[in-house]
This record gives sequence, structure tokens and C-alpha cells, in this order.
Amino acid sequence: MDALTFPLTNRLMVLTAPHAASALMLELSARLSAAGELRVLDGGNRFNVYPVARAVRRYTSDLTASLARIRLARAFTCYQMAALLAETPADGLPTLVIDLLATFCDDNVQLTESQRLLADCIPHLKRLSQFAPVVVSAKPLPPLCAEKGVLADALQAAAGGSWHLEALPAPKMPALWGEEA
Amino acid sequence: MGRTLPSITQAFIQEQAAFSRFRRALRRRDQLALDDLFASARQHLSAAAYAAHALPMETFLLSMLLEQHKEILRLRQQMAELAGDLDA
Repeated sequence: MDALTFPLTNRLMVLTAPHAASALMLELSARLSAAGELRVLDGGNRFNVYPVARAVRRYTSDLTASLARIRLARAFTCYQMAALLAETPADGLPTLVIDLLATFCDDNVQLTESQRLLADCIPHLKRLSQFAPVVVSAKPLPPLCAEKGVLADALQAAAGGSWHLEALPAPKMPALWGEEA
Repeated sequence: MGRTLPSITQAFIQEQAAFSRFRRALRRRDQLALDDLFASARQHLSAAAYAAHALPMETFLLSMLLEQHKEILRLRQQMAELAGDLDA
């Protein structure tokens, strides 16, 4: 799956992948920005504008205008993420949420509190998805916060479409002289 | 709270690393010339940071051109001085 073939429809789509599918999400934001405005909510500080600018250049020559169409907001705590989603108006702009669960893995936030906050976030994601595509990416939770795996399950249960992407194995260089030992 | 954008030095290292396969396929003397080009771009990292261009590679390429042009101007001046010496 890549950004060009990703099906964008008005529903809540959840992507689970290593690195929270950052490369795909950045490419997707470039594709969408070439066509119109979009909103990016970054929960894992993963929105690197340099790859986005390179990708935008492939779609359009008007780099500055395309980048200006991306409305970016970063959340560094789960409380900020919940507030961001609550304050986001359902104005029909496509919304990309990168690494939503990263902020919920905070050691200082109890599981019950995380669950409550995520339960607050999900209706807002659904509200936004009624008028425009909403793509949420998340990474598999690390073993250190394995007990918060229920959050990923809750997010996937709420999704209208869910994909689990795996990293491709590194390409193996064929041997020049037959089989290598 | 970390950085929200890679520093210009990080961006430069990433761009240089992106050309590592290209470099590996070059002849040795061409590899050295390519290394010189990147070294000349590195001299202008502070200016590139100030430019804050969305595509930093364009700034690096311009930095390389700048150093090339300075070298051309220097050689041109040397040529003129040598021609002056010969005429005298």
C-alpha cells in the first residue's frame, strides 16, 4: 500500500505499522496538500517537513502554496491530544493523525486515565470522519507499556477501516558467484 | 519536548547519506571530487540554516556552485596576472 493507492473515504481509518507509518502519512499529506487544505495532528513529533516538501515537488511545482495548505498541530501529552481533537471543527478538511497513541504511553498517566482520554478522543475522530477522511496512524506499543495494548484495541474497534502494515524485509543482494555460504 | 525539525546539519548528513550508493558506484577520483563538493557545501551550513528553505538540498547545491564560482574567479584572476606578466 502506498499514498497514491490509499483509499480515502469519509470514515475513520486506522493504520498500525512500525514507526506509526510515518513515511506513508507524510507522503499522504503531500498528496492531499497538492489538491487542497488538510489538517495534520502529530502526536509523536514525527511530522518532518523536508520529506513532505520533496514529495510535494513531485505533485506540483507550487511548493510554497502546497505547504501553506497543511495545518499542522503537535500534541506532546495525551491531554493536549484530547484537547486538540475536541477543539477541531468538523469543517470538511481531511485529517491525518500521526502516532496517536504515542502520548498515551506516558508513564505518569494511569491506564484508566489513558482509557478515559482515548474514549473522549474517539467520538471526536468519528465526528470529523463524517465530513472528510480521517486517517489515524499508530505504532505497535512497546513492551514497556504493554498493559496499554487495550488502547490500540479500542482504537481499532472504533475504526471504519483498519490496516496493519509490516516492514518489508531488507532486499537481499544476489550473490555474484552462485550460492554463498 | 524535542526538536520539531531536523537541524540543517542533520539534514545535510541525511542528504549526503542519500547519495552514498551513487558515490559507491563512482571511480575513486570521482568519489574524491564528490567529497570535495559536499565539503564545500558544508562551509555554508550556517547560511543554509538562515535560509530555512523547504528543500535544503537546493541550498546545498547552490553552496557548491558558489564555491565552484569562487574557484573560477580565482583561477581567472591568476590567468590575468600571468598574462600580464607575459606581456610585460
